[in-house]
Amino acid sequence: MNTNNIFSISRFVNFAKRELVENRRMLLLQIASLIAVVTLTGLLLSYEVYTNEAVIETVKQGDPFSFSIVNGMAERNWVRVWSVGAVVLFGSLAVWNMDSKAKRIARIMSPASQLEKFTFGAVLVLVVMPAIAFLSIEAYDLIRVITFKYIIDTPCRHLVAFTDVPEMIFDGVKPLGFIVGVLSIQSVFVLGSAIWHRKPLIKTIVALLLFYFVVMSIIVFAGPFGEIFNMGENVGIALSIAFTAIMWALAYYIFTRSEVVGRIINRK
Amino acid sequence: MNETKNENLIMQVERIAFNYGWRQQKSVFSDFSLSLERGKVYGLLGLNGAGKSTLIYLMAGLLTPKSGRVTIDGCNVRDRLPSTLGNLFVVPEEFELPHMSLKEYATLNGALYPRFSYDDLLRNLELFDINPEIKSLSSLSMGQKKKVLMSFAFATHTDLMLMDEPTNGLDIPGKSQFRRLVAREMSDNRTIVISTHQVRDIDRCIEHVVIIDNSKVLLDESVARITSKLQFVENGTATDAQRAIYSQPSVTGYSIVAPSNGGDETEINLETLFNATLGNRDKITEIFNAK
Repeated sequence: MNTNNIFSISRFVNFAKRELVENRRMLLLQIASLIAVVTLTGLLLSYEVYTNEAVIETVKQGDPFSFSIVNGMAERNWVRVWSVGAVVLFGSLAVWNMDSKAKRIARIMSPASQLEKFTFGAVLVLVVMPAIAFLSIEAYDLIRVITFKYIIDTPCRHLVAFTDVPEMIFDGVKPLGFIVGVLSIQSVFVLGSAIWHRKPLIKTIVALLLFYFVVMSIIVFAGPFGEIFNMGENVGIALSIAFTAIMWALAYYIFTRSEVVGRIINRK
Repeated sequence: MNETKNENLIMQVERIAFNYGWRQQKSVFSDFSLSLERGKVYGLLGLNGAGKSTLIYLMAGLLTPKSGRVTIDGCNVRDRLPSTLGNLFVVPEEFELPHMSLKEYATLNGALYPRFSYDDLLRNLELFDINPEIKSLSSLSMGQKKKVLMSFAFATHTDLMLMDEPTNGLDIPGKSQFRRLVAREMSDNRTIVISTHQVRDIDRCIEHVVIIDNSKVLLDESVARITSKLQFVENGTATDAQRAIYSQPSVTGYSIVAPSNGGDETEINLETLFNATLGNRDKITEIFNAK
């Protein structure tokens, strides 16, 4: 019998396997929805460019990059917004599958440690879902090429290379600061998923909007206080890392206090 | 002597207090204690709203007591240690089974329980007349799902099983099959707690009765002791009814609970025992506290 009560790799693998296989339908549905959203929006964004006669003429004259997703400004921004948005919003899956009493009982009573259960959520939102978001861009690009090349008969031929995506995302920004910023916003959604087991994404967005309006109201009435954010880049990164760590730690604490009924705080 | 007794205890509920809600609303439990011994089938009885399900959740660590603690083999159940969770199975009243075959479900979930046996799962399903070639568990009826979950639960061979209304949703053969399963799967190490208000479904398979009401244990006695102290008569006369602790009219006369007269022991009737305990708790307490 496994006597390790903190973290056992074999038990973690068994738990993760169980979670993924039992919920594969939900996961596949989410992935399909994501690919559909990114594809449809991307196609709409690029339709005007790809059907523009002047652009087509340029391509025919030997400049295929007119249709490259890497060079298209609208698409590049779309890929960036998509990647960042997906990573941030997927934070809501950190404490997943606890939206009903039956699911909470099944999850809490599973013979795995709290750390193993939480780590599964962390791997899901930090590794699995970003990878799926990234792959959805590849899937989108394939559909884009097929659509424009064979349906609209436009000489679009450039697929996104795996190495191109980081270039598109980090174009014009400092990678470290950008990643830290994205992860810090994601951590708010992670915390939201620990607090609200039902509809955590919507509730976190509403909470963030309320927070935003409160801050804006203070600015309107008390005047701008942007000076206090006028800090050096390194200080900003350090503070963001600290903020992210605190959000994750809080999420873990609240997760360990999860109960069969939705009592946010239990008393002991 | 005390040590020997403690070794035989699998679970201890120690002076717990609990209430739902943000503020100090109505207390469900205050200063509540209970001990469960190994190798026994407990019937947990109480009125609707008496706190049976809440007690099951507290025993499983699904709720946190405001004070006090619940331990399984000395470990606080609220710590939710894998070693504790791997030795405890809860069959809740509400549950879901995933959209997958039984074999896949058993393989994935059985891997989390150190003593799980697939052969025993098949044996348990056979007792319930369930064909194990199930393609999708989610498409089963509620009763069939319950039979599958209980078959799986017993196949995990956990030392402690907590069952909340296990016979709800079972058909008539299913209820007797459930009793047979409990009888067959009981061992010296295993303890089963069955919380129910359908007392007739379990009166032949329990060995110990716990009746709770208003946050208190009204009765916590073995069936053997109950039948030695009380007499259960199914077709009593009006005269018998007058001297009884509790009586209720039945088709054949009166169902009666009376103090034992020292004669032959009678078969326990949980329904009348339950009503007698709630209706005449002082008298019942007096009988069981007498040396």
